[in-house]
Amino acid sequence: MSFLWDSNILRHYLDDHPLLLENLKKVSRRDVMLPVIVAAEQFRGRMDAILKAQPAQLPRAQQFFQQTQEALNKFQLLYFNDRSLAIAAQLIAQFKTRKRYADVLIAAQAIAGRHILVTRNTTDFRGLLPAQQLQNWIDEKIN
Amino acid sequence: MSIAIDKEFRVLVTQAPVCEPNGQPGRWRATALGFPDIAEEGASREQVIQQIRARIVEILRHAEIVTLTVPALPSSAATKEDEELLAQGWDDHGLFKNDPEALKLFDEIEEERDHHLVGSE
Repeated sequence: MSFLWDSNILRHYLDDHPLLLENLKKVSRRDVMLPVIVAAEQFRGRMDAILKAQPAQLPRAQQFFQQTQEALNKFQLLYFNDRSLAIAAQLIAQFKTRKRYADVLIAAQAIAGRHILVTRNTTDFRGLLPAQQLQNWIDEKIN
Repeated sequence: MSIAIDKEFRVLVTQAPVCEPNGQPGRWRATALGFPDIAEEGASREQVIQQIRARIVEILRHAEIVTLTVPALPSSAATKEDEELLAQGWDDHGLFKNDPEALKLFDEIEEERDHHLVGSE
């Protein structure tokens, strides 16, 4: 069992959110993973920024890309396996159009590995994951 | 009763370069290493060594070594917090702190997720 970070937790990690930092004193980095979806969203965004940048914007865009690459390299990424893919297919069939696609894929990985999903956006994941597999380290202090 | 124990001091002995206009040999200088204020100058190597030895002996006649204990500098709250985070492997937090341009991507990611619902592909 590991803690899977949603994108909004990564955001607040990189932004030094005080309560998140307080919580992280109790959690080893080895117990945290990033779903590959979260990493892909980061890379896509940073790559798009480079590809669309005017020459004057390129230095910042490539700097963000480089910093993001270095930050993500320090995390274990969680890739899909047969089990999480099968669960993703079940969830997609079950929820049809009511859920965000990326949330469903991340939830499938959490279910498959019995991981705890850490997100600030617990509302969107309710129904996808049981309450005991959801934690919010931004607004709640962990024990 | 006191017991005299010889103590060694390392001394740097140098000679200045020859003074070109009159061809006079440069003066000698001896400096106690670690104590730059203890230095002597003279016309020969032997002279400066003798002088600095006498100077050190004289200083030590009126000297004592005192050990002082002073409070350590208090570590700042930020440093203490960083140490606790570092112990858990969190060594790169705050990479984009106070950088709205860098953080804008996270808002875009949420918008993208809102638009891409199951069944909309």
